[in-house]
Amino acid sequence: MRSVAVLGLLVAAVWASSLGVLVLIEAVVLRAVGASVLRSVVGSALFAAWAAAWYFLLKGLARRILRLPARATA
Amino acid sequence: MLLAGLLAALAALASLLLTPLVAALMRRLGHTRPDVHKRGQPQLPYSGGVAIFAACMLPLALLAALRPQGAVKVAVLASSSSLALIVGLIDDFKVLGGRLKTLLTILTVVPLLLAHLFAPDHVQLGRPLVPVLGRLRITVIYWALLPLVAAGPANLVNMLDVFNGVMPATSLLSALAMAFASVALGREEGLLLLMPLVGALVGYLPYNWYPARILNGDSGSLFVGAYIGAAAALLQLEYVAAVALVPHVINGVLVVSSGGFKEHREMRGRPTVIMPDYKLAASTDPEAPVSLVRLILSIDGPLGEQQVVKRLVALSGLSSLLAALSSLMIPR
Repeated sequence: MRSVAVLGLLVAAVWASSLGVLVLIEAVVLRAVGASVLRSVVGSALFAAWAAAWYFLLKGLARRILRLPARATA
Repeated sequence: MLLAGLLAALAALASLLLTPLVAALMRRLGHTRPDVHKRGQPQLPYSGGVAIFAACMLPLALLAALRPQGAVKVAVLASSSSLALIVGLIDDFKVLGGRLKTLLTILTVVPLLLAHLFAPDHVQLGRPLVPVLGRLRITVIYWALLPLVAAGPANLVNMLDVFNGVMPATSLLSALAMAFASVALGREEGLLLLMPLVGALVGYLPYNWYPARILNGDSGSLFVGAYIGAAAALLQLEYVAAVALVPHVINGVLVVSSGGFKEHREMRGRPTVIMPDYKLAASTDPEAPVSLVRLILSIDGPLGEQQVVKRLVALSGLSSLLAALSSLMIPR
């Protein structure tokens, strides 16, 4: 069941980091950015950056676990 | 609560009774597929999704009759998921390409769009509920992402429908997390819309659990995934559904990033190999697509089908638990 521990940790990390982004948006973007449209754009950009970071992180992690050369998950 | 229980019980009973009938019908039509992970690869009736669909529609019709004020949402949910069923059935009988199938599932968003435009008092899209922040107003961005709302879960559930019992078990856990969120947020309509799916999957699961007596087909996985996606959009539970489906999302990202939008039958290699003793092992072919199951097998070594399924269900249980927990963090 080592896979459940490793991948479960990954699932929990994805969830916790999504909450982290939401807290960041609440604490920084909603307070520091005045215009509503700009708040939406900055908030969404943060979420898009979070998603992109996880995309590349997942590809890298999979490559390490499977011991594959870089191009296999590119 | 009583009505929710009644809807779930009706769906479960319908599923229990209808699945053997659908299996017999598919056998009579010669609509079978080999269960490739079993010794001797027995031919099993295909398109079990028809039974899940019928078992969901009965309680949904009853709900619309008993609660006419919620009939628009019921109609949208039924039509959106039915479109996915039709795409799945065409694929089950005629085999569509991976890209065409994915594109066709985007049609599932049409009922949601039409309801939002023509029945705005009943259906309001673009205001997802998220932890910490509460209700978001991301109307413009939401419209850009809307095609993914129902089509995304449909395709993600489809991509992880690889072994006996995985689709109904993991979808059941996701639907239960969403039902919990509805209760936590004090929204009875969410519970009422989700209980037909919960009941239908409870009744269907024993037939698809290892060793399966019927296979879901794309009709089953696309219908169930679209139901979850459409319900999430109608109930503003997109975040909760996304968290519940994190293992599906991880699998989808890995498969698409390594193999593109292809059906497994179109891919060059297989992520797993079947050993002589019918255990599964991670493929060592660097060109083979990467999937969640390949990662599991790479970490744990060769496993039987049941052991892989247990691991996938455990991961789905964890993500559904986190989804339920998330709903408690949504400000009222």
